Amino acid sequence: MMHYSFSDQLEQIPPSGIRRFFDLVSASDDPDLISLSVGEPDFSTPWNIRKVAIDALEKGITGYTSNRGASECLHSISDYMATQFDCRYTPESEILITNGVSEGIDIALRALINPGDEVIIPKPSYVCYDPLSRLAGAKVLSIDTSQTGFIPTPDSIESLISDRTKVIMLSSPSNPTGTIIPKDILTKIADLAIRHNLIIFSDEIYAELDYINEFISIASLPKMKERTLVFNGFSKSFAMTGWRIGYVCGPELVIDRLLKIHQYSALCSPIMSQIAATEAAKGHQEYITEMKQSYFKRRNIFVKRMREIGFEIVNPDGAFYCFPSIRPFNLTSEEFCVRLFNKYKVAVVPGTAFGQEGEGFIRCCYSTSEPALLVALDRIEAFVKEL
Amino acid sequence: MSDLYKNILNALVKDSRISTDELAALLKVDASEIKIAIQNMEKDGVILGYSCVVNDMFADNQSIRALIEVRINPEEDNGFDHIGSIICEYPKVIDHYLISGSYDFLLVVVGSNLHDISSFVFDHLATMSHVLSTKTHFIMKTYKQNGIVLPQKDSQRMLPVSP
Repeated sequence: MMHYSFSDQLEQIPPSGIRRFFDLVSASDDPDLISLSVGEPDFSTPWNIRKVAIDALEKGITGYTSNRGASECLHSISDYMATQFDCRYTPESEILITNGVSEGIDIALRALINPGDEVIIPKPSYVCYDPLSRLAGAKVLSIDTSQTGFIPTPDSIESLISDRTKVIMLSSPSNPTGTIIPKDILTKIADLAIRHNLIIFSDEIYAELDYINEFISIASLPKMKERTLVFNGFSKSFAMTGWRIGYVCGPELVIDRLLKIHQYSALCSPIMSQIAATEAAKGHQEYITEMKQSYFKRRNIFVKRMREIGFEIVNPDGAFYCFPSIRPFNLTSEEFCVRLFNKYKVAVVPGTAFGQEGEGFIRCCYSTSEPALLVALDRIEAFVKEL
Repeated sequence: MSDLYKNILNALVKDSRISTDELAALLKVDASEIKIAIQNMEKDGVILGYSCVVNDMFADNQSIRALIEVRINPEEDNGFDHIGSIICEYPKVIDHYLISGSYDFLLVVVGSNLHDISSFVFDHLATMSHVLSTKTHFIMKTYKQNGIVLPQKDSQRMLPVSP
């Protein structure tokens, strides 16, 4: 029998917690199942965006684009970033179109990290940050934010910084917690980055979903553009998860290095996705307001009722997640989720899928329909009453 | 009308159950301002009511809908308005418009069955003086209603878990 030998770096990465839970839930074809486990909008991509892609396919526009991305798409992203977030990037040199945010983070890490360089990651965090950092050869330094309202404190970051520290990974609004890093903390983290010559990776995929304030990008703070890579995309704001299209904005010298990897590993993002994204970025933003209104209402219903049931929840002011504590119920996150799923057919994700720091929490996505949400809440209440 | 009023209306048209507090947070203004704006619009007849959008195609639906085109011979003094106001009195008529084009009134009529609507047309509408002719279109299927696209059977299911 063939003996396979795999990369040591890969083999050291533990199996994905979310994959394990996915396998369990996917095996069920129970029509009664209500899933609060999805990390995507329950809307389809708006029609005007789908239409331009259909038209392009009909016209036979199906080839490669330049490695960086189609010029129209780069320009519309540049305009969008300037209008929405007051961040100005030159389309031809400071933007790269990627296959979603995850590819952007992957190639950025590979472009910057030498073996043993350190990446600071506040946790619980989105599933790809830690493994991609390790695959790039980095040493991951985790900050447990579960005691500080899921906000990384500047002190906790500074205490980890050494000569080998290169990158601080930030995600705001956050998947999985829905929390947003306030401006005063962002400013202090920016100061730290400047003082220690660090690069900030700012994952802003949920930037359009800030329910309380106008979203502030750390790249827009003084002297930060030159040391920030902004990762964004169309998946969440424009309900385009399956199109796999995102982008990285940052200093020309860094983007050039990312492009060097992207041209070999991906060549370019799919042309129909770029055409759709061009329309999304330049189009009227009415549907974003509509989606936001709808999520905001569901968030209020969900969080209020979960608190009434007895869950402690840090205010989720953005994205479409909340991260309730299940500590009073004396179950591990995984036990809680498996039992809730088996008995009451409600799927929520164990907090540990987002790092060990997520133990004692569950991630609930409230982007499902309002009636389904209400049924799920009734079932969750019945479940915890039995505990 | 101010932008605030327009934004409130837009939000209420999409979801009439949205609370004052949610509107306040969404539009980033004080809840008391929202309350006054809504009261003003109710008082001025801008907001006529708050209703529920029921899926016409739900399985147990016991009603049937028709669009009726009506040609009118307008009255000398009252034009279309007098006959229009009489037609409005019938509860079966849920929407009633005077329109441009090859006919004059467009009515949306709801009945319990085909016979119910037919008898409204034969016994009441067509026999009115000034009504020249009618044309009735029964609705067979609804694809979109009040801005909401009705779910189709082949709509794709999402993954049950995703990161």
